[in-house]
Amino acid sequence: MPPASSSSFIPKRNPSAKLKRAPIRSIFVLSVISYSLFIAAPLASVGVFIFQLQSQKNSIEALEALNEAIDSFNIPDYSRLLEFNDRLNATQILVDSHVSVASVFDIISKATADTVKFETFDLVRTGEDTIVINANLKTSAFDGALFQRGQYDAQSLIDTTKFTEVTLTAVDSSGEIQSSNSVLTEKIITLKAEFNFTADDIKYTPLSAFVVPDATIETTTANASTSNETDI
Amino acid sequence: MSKFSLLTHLFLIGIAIAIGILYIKPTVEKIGVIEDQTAVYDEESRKVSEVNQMLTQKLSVVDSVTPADKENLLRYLPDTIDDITVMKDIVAIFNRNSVDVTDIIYAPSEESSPSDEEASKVDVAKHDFTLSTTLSYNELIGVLRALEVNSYLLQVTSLKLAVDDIGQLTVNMTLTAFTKVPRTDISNDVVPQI
Repeated sequence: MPPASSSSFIPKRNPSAKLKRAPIRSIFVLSVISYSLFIAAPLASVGVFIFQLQSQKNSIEALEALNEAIDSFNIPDYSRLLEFNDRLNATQILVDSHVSVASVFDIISKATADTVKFETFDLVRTGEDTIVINANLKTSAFDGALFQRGQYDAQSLIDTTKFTEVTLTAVDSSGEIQSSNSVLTEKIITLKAEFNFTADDIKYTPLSAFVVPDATIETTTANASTSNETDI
Repeated sequence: MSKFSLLTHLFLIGIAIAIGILYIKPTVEKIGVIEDQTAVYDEESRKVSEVNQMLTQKLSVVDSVTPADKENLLRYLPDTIDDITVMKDIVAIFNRNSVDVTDIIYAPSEESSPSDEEASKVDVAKHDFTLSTTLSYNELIGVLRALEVNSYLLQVTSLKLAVDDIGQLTVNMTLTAFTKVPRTDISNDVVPQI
């Protein structure tokens, strides 16, 4: 007959098997962690608190420095500087756009043949950079008009030249349009000319104005008189 | 390890975590904000100091301009003009070239507007003086040369010429003088309030 214990359905513990104990190390680790955290947390709090105070102090000092810098900004000085700067810039622009109208006459007169006469001359400054001249011209022959157009086109300082309304007219000796009882007649060609100048090409240069003596100016006008003065 | 000891450890850890969450973390965030503000203050303070320094430098340049040059600048582009004085100057220029001005009219001031292409580049007001006279070609050139070297700008805006029976030129001319438009008050725009 088997022993009563072996017949039980309850499993028996092997008497040789040792009881497993929880590792003692984990207790120490948990203790170290808990105590470390418990000590570190207040220490960190104190550190953070001190750092916060220091940061606030730095921030206040920075703000005071900023306010001091702002207070030291001198508005009247700034206004004075802006006013001077504005005046200087505006003056610079005006000086840069200052053209010599006398040189316009000089350029046109040098390019105008003796056979061409100006009847009217209308100069308008259309913008800061452009001068437009409309003129009524008179000449005696088509060849003169063609030659004159070539002369103006060849003049590089004249931006563009346009001839319009070219008309051949018969006039009497007094220059009036021929009538039935006129005796002496001649034919003239009238036309409208438009000259465009760019400001850069005819810019006024103070140096030349001061350096050039009066005699030179008179020479220039004398040259001009060879064509324009007698023509107009 | 006893049950009590384990609970103690957990309690201590909980306290530490609570301190971290409830005090340290928000405080650190607060410190971050303060540090950011401080950085902004420092940066703005540096910029304002630079502006102040630049202002001082520029003012020293302005102050280094001689009074004579400043006077010339002010004469070339004044704040206001006396129309009678300008008309007197124009007539004097013509008279110096032996030309009598027949008539001269001062047109009201035309202040620059943004739509005006020419005026948009420069903040100035225009003052037109329209005159007419009769002169020779040489006299015209002489007058134009004299106008060019005037101490303030008299721009020939329009010039109409016609020849009469005796070869004299009938001239209608518009001369434009310029004044500076004063800047509006800047005190409210310049200094920020902190």
